[in-house]
Amino acid sequence: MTSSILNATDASFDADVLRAPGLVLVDFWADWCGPCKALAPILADLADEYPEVRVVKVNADENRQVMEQHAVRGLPTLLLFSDGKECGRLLGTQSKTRLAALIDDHLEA
Amino acid sequence: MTLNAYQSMPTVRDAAIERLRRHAADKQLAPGPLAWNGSKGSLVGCILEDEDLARWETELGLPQWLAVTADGIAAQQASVDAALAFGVDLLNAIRPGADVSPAASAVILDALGDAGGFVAALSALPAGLQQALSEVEALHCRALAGERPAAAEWRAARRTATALTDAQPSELLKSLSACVETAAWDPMSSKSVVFDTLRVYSRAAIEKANLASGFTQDDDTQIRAHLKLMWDTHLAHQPELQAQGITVFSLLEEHYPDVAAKIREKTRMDNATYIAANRRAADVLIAQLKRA
Repeated sequence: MTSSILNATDASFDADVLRAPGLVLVDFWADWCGPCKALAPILADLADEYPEVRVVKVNADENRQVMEQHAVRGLPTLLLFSDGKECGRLLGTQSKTRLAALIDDHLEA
Repeated sequence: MTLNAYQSMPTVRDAAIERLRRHAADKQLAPGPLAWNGSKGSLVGCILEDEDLARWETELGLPQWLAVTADGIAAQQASVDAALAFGVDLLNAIRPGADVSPAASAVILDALGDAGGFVAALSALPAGLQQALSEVEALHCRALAGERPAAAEWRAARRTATALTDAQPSELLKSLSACVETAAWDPMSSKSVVFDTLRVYSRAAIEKANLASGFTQDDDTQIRAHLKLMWDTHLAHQPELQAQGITVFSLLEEHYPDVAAKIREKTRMDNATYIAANRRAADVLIAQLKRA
């Protein structure tokens, strides 16, 4: 796991994501979720590729409040925030190409 | 950067294998994404006794893409013993002193070639998709030859292939196009590209198996509709049933056994296809490492 990925909780989500400037990519995952595990190395690679984007992981089982607040219904779910506002959402395992395309769209906007 | 496997010392390789065997014997090998908690970890975690992939490069002289790919393949093995055997085979396949970096493009080219072949045998390839496939293959051929195509070339290839994937009329063609767009990263800088390409290659293999078995998008739609019906009818407003362990699947078994049987058969087929694709990926990877 790359050290540039943050682990957020119900208590820290506001500071780590909603009040963070710029783009923040949030991965809702769970230990029992196979597709979430497949996503892990892709996110680590992406975090290295885009140092200007904060990558945050949220354990969905341990942080139900933030999951409900953001209507996360399945795992893995990836939410992209721009200056604290949700601007993109992807459900299921994604390739690095698709995640990079989502980020590029907002970096170039 | 040129890498030097095991710093040209067989003893470095032997020590890595010994660490892996020891952790496996102690039941501390847990195949999955890179992890090491001080005593237990993934395949690479057990080899390195660390999560820092920089050490994979500096101490073992191996490229980081190989670590990510090895953990990915190990995680899909049928058992921990099989993951251990794969890890030992992988480490033994690499000649001390070799630079195995170019094997990344060789593995990707093999996956693209195989997927392109089996998809073309089942469906005519649109000219645009054929061209995008050829362009990404050409980029990897250049990488294999020691060139370093510019980041803009890889980016352009990704953009073209991504637009093509969205425009393909069938799941089979989409699955091939997904392989092309996923493979379009410089393997010298993207440590997940081989792992990611092999992952979507498995999806393409499943689409091929779907066609061979007669499973269609309509079947998928029917299954999803029935599962939603079970949820809406029985579970959505009765959380006490959920607490008793009743699921949409057990309800489907009770009310629509024919649809439940279709799910079981589809799951069996998907699992068998994943295992075969993963076995193939492991064999190709090890063969390419031996060549380096």
